[in-house]
Amino acid sequence: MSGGQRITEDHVRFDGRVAVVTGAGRGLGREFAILLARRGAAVVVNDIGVSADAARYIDVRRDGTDFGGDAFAGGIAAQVAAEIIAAGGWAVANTADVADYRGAASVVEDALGAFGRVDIVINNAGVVITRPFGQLSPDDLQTAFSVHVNGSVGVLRAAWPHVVGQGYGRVVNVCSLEGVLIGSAGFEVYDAAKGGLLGLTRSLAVEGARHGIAVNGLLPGAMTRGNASVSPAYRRSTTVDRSPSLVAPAAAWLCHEECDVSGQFFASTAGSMRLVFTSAARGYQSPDPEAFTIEELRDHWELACSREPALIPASAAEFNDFRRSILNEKVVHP
Amino acid sequence: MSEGAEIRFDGRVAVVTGAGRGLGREFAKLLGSRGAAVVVNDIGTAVDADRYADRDGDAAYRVAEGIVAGGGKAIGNGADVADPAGAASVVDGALTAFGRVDIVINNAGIVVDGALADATPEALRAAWGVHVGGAFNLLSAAWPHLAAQRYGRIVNVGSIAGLLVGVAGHTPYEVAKGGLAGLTRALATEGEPLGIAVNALLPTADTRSAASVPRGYDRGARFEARHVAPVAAWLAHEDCRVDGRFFAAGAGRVGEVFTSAAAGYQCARPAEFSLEHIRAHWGVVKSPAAAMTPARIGDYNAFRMAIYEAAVS
Repeated sequence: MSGGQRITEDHVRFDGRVAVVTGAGRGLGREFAILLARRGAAVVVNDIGVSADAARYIDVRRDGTDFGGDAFAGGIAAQVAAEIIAAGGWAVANTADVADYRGAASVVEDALGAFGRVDIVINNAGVVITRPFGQLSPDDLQTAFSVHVNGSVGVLRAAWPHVVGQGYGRVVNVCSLEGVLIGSAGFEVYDAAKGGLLGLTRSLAVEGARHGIAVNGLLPGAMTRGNASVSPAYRRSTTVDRSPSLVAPAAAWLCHEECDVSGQFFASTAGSMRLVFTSAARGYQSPDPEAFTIEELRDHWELACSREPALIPASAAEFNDFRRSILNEKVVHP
Repeated sequence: MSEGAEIRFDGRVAVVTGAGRGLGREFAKLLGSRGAAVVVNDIGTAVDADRYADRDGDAAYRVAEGIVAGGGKAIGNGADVADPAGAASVVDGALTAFGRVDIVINNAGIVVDGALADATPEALRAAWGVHVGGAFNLLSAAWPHLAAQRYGRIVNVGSIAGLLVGVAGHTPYEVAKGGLAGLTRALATEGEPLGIAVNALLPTADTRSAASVPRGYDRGARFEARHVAPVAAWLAHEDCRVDGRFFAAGAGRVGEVFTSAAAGYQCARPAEFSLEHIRAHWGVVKSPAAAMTPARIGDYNAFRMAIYEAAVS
């Protein structure tokens, strides 16, 4: 065995796999696409090539501009695809708007047309809309929903029959610390949209389990255009290298066949990767639910707020068992 | 039995959406019986998306009449909160009838079942429009008044489905409830300096909406809507000081649902972080050990940076 072969075997590889990555013209998505391709995956690089902020995104849509061409930013999706090909990899560019269902479907059609299958979907496309709550409009909410949630669902609905048919798939929904772990002022529509992806991830992890499809959420931390406009807490210059490339291994790992978790969320930044998870605390159980009152809750509020003991349920059934066991304990509180 | 004083809402004005039946009705009745003036909002439709457009009832008005008959203060409102003008009319109703608004309980929702294949743009929009859009619209209308008086209590009725666990076949519903969780987190931070507390209630009760959801507990075994109402009311009270929290409630149980970040893995030389590092340390990466539960982004950043500095130094 030659040294070269041994190194290849030791590497985490994606040979024969076909990935679609949305919002891959710049920033995080670009790094995800390049890393997957470098490790052998054929990649559909999707990006409409517009500004990351909502104002320009809406303006472009309102103008009725054709997203199918290379009119924007010189076809950044094509540039990334060309870069991958120049390095010896496999890629095609797609400039459709995933917020439009036909556009979302075209991303998967391009994977099938160019490479004959689809194994991996990374829903990374998004827009950042932050403003004090009083200045956020229903249109802002609709825009965030359309790209983050509708866009992700659109790509997944197109891919699903294929990944179900082959009994294998890996989905990474790019969520955020915002909306999943914490929330920040002015992030109402962004956090709502990312919360929507949280719910989508949990629901599809259950639906995909019996088909060999793993669905996980990534909560990235990186300096990109997407967060350049937001709060000082994100912008603060430090000695820490927060390049998008340092998040790419986390995204790629969640796309690999050896990744054996589903319905989980991982934060990654600056070469770190950690689990973000939700627990249900035991809390307070009234000994007589029929007589349960506000005053009783007030008087036992400390116990109701206690975070121990707690369960991290792997399924709804586990939570129901936990809840039922507490109900059946019939403990009497002083 | 409690030995403390009775909890009252005298002088407070509450808005409860989806209050014509089920949980919302119990919330409105309890607040009304404890002295709050209540705007009882409900469009009076079926709970499923298909029949959402068919408005036939005056359920909200009947609940309001019941509260008034019991000696309380209430008005009905039949507007659709998914429509910004409808949501504004709910707040206008509170201001016109009672002169202020203090409490908003976003309870209106529809159950949109369906696996991914059935999660059409229309199904997603219907669910999102009521759960998230309705709360967003109503709070947009109420916020200036709450901010001006530097006091408010908001209770968003979420679900364990989507936040805590996944349930197959309810994709549009879980997407919408996840969205409401995200909205809750952001508003809690924004409301804190304004004296506005924003929390979420994750109820379990045998209502019309729950009838289609598969469950593992004993149906009818004390999972009544009225057992959840004290929790909603307490979260709406001035003595309740929590903010940005999620409480599961059912059958007289109240327990927090909270999201934490584990210590995880930090590559000692971040620039060399690779897929192989993750594979080699996968047990640590996916472990929930040494976790913290941040209230704000600053808490998390401090946690993250401490781990970084210890590993990288």
